[in-house]
Parts: sequence; structure tokens; C-alpha cells
Amino acid sequence: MYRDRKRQTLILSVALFTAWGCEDDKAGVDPGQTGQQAGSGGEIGGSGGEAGGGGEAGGQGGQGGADAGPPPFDPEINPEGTVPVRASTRAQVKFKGGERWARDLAKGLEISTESMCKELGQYDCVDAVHRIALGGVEPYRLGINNPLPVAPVTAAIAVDRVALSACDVRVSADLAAGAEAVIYIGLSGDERPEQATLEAAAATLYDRVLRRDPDPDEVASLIAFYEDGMTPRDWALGTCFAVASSMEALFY
Amino acid sequence: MRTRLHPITRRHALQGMAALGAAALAGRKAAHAQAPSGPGPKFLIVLAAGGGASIIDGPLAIRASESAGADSLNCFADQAVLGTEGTDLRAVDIDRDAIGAIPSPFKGRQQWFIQKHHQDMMVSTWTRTSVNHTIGQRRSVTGNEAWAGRTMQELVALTHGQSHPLPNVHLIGGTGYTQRGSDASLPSWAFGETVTDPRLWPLALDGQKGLDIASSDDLLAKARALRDERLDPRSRFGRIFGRSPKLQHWSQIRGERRAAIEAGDFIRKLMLAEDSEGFPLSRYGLQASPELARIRERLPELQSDPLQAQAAMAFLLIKYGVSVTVTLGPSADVQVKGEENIFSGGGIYGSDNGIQLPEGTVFNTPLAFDFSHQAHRSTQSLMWSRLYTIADGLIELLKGEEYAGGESLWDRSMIYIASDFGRTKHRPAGADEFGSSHDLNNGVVSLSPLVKGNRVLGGVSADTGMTYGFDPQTGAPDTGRQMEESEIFAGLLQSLSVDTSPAGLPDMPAMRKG
Repeated sequence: MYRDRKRQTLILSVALFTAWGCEDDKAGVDPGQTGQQAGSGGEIGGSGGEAGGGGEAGGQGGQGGADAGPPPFDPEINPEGTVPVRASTRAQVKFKGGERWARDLAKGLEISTESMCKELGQYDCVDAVHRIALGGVEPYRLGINNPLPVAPVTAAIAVDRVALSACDVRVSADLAAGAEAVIYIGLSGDERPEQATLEAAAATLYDRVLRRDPDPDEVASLIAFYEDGMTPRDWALGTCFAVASSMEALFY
Repeated sequence: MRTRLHPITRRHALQGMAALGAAALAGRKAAHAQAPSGPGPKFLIVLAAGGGASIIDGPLAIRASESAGADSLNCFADQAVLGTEGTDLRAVDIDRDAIGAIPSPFKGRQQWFIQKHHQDMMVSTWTRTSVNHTIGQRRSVTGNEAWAGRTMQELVALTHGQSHPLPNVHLIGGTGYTQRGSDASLPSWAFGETVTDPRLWPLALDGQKGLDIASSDDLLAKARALRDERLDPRSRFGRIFGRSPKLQHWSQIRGERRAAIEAGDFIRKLMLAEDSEGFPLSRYGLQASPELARIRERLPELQSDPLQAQAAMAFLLIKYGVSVTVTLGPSADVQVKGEENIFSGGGIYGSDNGIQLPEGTVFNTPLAFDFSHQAHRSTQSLMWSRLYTIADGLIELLKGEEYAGGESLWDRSMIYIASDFGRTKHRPAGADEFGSSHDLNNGVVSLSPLVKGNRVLGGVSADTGMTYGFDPQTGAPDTGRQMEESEIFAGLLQSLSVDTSPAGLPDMPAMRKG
């Protein structure tokens, strides 16, 4: 069911993406690549390169003319090991705002928004305590009719508190649930889990929180986070926090 | 007491127009305006008199016997306007049975404050350019956009606050006093950080403390590093949209300033709440600010009066080196002491039905100073008294805190009582309570050892209630001159050692010490 919803969301996203024209054709993942590393000929293309003329025309020698194709990938933003992308020329993103982000996060972690974070055990983090910092409004009591034009420093801290608290709820539940866990299946005790267990958890985490599959580099980063002396709980809490409070989770 | 009240004649008016033209030219020519500057920061507290504090209901009050048109001018019975030896600053002490239709008696008291603080108190007259609340508020802190739309708070933050974690904090929101200035070229840290509830806000000053989570600081640091150094910069999203100013801003606020805030342990130092059922601090590993007991001596109602809570937070922000400028002000909501319900028994709009609330029940009028539309005299009296009480608490707290070398924090601070505008000067013949409207003409109170205290710059006509200006160099009253917003803006900034020469603002030595 969750997969179905994800598929619907994906279809809707693609439709909106096309309708809004929200990103120009030079931005984003090269349409010709399918996840493999770019070849040494300077840019990818490969078998999928025909889509939208996405493949680099002729590698090093194929430039010039009106159909020179997209520019080469900028090595500055494509460090080794990552899936090559081109930078957006407009780079317009919007902050989800605390309410939407929290709702997305609660849904992804399969917890209730009411349980995800309470300051001092009684004040709702998102709806009350950090409401204005996280882009909310409160016209009646505070006279704040519009979201703050720029995120304050405390917004970054508030996000961390909410993410940490929400992840703690999910991780605590998962570690007690055994095979019934939602994300961190097979994690318990103090022993380091098998590699496959960590990989599965990383994939599920991305699937649930960011609604996509992780890139291999991202899975590797999460697994590398498991250091000596760390417990499975530490790893789960740390990785959940990092993904839940990532820019990708906060902006759209 | 020597009076500064002078009738304005046609000759004065013509002289004033000529002087105004000359002053405008002088202002344009001014290449520098540098105040004496000691090392270290100066602190600006903007105490916002939302709704319009009328200067002739405070330190420039007029006695009926001084005015040719006393019957219809907003002036007071002679005995209500109190002078204090050694100063021209005046006070209005009156007792009222109600605030207009609100049957809440109170005692409006100003003289104690003048007696105590006149040496640090300066009134400068000015004539504003808008009677719209939000615009007037904004222009009171931008000098009518005198410096590329930068606010005073931003300029003080820029000058003195670079090393402070949150240089510019706004303890009120949704006002023109706290709007972001229009110079987008300023560094983001110079803009105001909005705090809407001083008692809860400290919980936003640490990513982990106070959360009931079994996790170590070390784990959070590692998880943040995973996110900030690995996942975000290497994700497709981060690389595709990395040029977005919004993402770059977030990267910035997750950097040094956040680290400085957390390292300062401000979640504990700034905690105004007391450990209680409502705020079970100790259960979550937190505690009240170590300064709370001392603050409570000066601001005893801080747990129930939002303005006192703001003042307490303003003090803590300056004391702990978090901020160099703080903006606070009374709410536009009516505020009531204790459990009294002013709406019970149909009493609020029917004081003639005999309902009387205990004295001091209503301590903040609806709409703050703007309740003067309904009840000018009592609103101005109550709200001036309220601001003086808050200012006194702040001054005493800052005086009690050493900055360095025997110098107190107060020695480096200014409280600027900013107002939207003035109020109309007349009343129905003989009326003791009346409604007033907005007026461009007014004056402004600043409290600071950095300004030329114990003086009135300019004056007021006892016949019209209109203020007139002063010579920016000597401070001599000039009945033919009206001070512009940019001049007062410049003078206050120069007192705070802000170099105004890049903006070509007029030099105002009459306002600053040294």
C-alpha cells in the first residue's frame, strides 16, 4: 500500500514537473544516464542518451553548432562516487515550512504528529514553541500575518530538535518491535548488524522519508556512519536524524 | 523651574522655514558624523510605544495656566504637571477611576522616574512623515529610510554585533519597528531574530538539551556532520539546487552561529521560566537562569506580564553577550492582572452600571497607546507609566552588571522609546477624558549615559501643543524649525558610535555626549 502511494506520488510529481516547467532542461540528472558512472570520454550518454538529446554530443570533439547538446558536467558539483548531475540555472526552491515538513516526516516515520515532539513533555514543538521560527504565522495573538522572510538561526536548531525527537520515537519503537519494525528491521542489542541489514534499513529510510531510493553513495555514507563503539540504536538515531533534517527533506 | 514654552509667531515660522532650508543643505554637505567611540560594543534597546506615545502627555506636558487656549488644548490642571528640581523634564501624576469605558482604576505616576533618571534622559522633538501606524513605526527606526532603508537595530548590529551570536533580537513581531530593513546587502546576521515568547524561546537554543532522549552530544555532532558534510552536499538535490540562496542561507545558519549559541549554554542561561508543573525544567535536565532571582527584584511580574518577560530577556541577551540590540514593546492586546474577567457582568462597556474592577486590574490597554482613540488621557497616563516602569527595571539591571574596568553595561546602553507618531493636541472644551487622533508632530525620549541627558532639545508651544526644533550643533531651541526623522535617527546612532558618514547623514552633536 505504501508503495502504491509512492507510485502515485511519483506520477503526480512528474506531471506537475512537466506542467510547471519548474526546472529548465539543463538542470537535474542527465536524462541519458541510468545511474552508472560517467565514462572517461567526458560525460555520460550511453544507451539512454537519446532521450531529450541528453547525451553529450561526441564527447570531447563533438562540440560546436546549434545542436552541441548540454554542457559538460561540472566536476565541482560532481565529486567522485556521485551520480552526475547538472546544476539548475535557476535553483528555485521553497522551504516546506514546519507544519508541512513535520507532517511529511510523521507520515514517513509512521508516527503521529502529536507524539513526534513535545517540549518539556507538554508544548507541541512545531505547532506552538517553534511555530514562527519554522515559517508559521500567528495573526491573532502575535500579529504575525506572514512567515518570516528569512529563516532565523533558531530555525536550524528547532529543526534538529524536532527531527531528533521524531526519530527517537521511531527508533525506540523499531528496536522494540523486532521483525515488525517499520524502518530499522533486525536492529537490536549492542552487536553490529549484518551489512545487508544496514543496507536494507538505509533504503527503507530514504524510501519513507525522502520518497526515493538512495544512491549507492548515500547508502555507503550511512553505513560508514557506523563506527566502532556505536550501538545499533545510535546508528539508527543518527542516520534517521541526518536524513530527516536534510535539505532535501526541508525544501522542495 | 525654567520653562521652555514659547509662543510661535509668524516671524518664528518664517525664520524656521529659512533655517529648515539651510539645515537641509547642511545635511547634504555633511561628510562625516562621528561620535566619540570607546572600545567595545554599545547596546540599543528599542522600547516600542505602539499606537503613539504623545510627548505632551509625558515629559513635555503643559499646565493649563501656561496656555492661552487651555480649555480646548490637551493640557493638564497645574497641580497634575510636576516639575523636578534640576531639570526641565516634566511628569504627569494623575489618578483615574477608569480607562475610558473600562472600569479599571489606576494611578498614573511619572515623577518618580524623572526624579530618578533625568540625568540620563533626553527629549528631542521631531515632526514625523506618516500617521499610518506601520509606516510610522518603520520610519521611527529607519529615519524615513535615511540610510538605504537600514534600521537602527541593523546598523547597531552591523557596527557592534559581528562577534555576537544573535546581534539583533526582536522580542515583538508583526510591527513596523521590527520589519526587516530594505538593504539586502547586509550580512544575514545583522537582521533581526524574531522571538515571540521569551519564556519558551530558550528551548530553541540547543539542538538536544531538554529533550528526553537517550543520546549523547557526540552522537548529535556526528549525525550533523553526516548530514552537513556528506549527505547534503553530495545528494542530487543538494548539487542541482546548491546555488539556491535559501539553501546557502540554511548552510550558513547551521554553521558557526549555531555552534556559538549551543556552546554558550544559552538554553539554561536565558531560561526565564521557573521550575514548575507548567515548566518542569529539572525533569528535562534544565534549570532557570541563574540571574532569575535578581531579575525578579526589578521585574517582579515577569511570569505574568509579557512586557516584563521581554525586558528580562533583553537584559539577559545583553548580559550574556548574545545581542547588542533588542526590540521590545507592549502588546496590542488588553492584559489583565490575576483572574479578573473584565468581560463578566457586561461591565466593560458599561461602567455606568456600577461595576468597578480592583485598582490596576488592566495593566495594558487594548491597542496599547492607540486606545487613545477612545480614552486619550487615561491611556497615555497608564502606558507612559508602564514604559517608565519597564525602562527603570532595565536600567537598574544593566547598572548592576559590570562591563569592564568599573564600567557598567548601562554606561554603554541606550533605551530609545520609539513611537509611531504623536497624537492630536486638542480636546473638546473642558473635557477630562476624550479621544485623540494621530498627529505628525511629537517628540522622542531616549535614555542613556551616551546622550546629552537632562535636557529637552527643542520645546513645545503652550498655546498649540506643537513641538519645535533645535539647532543640531548647539541644541539651542529654534521655534521656527521642525526636526526631521533623519536628523533624530542620525543623532541617536551617533550617540551609539555608529559612523553615519557613509550615508551622508547630518551631524548632530547636540544629541550626543563628548
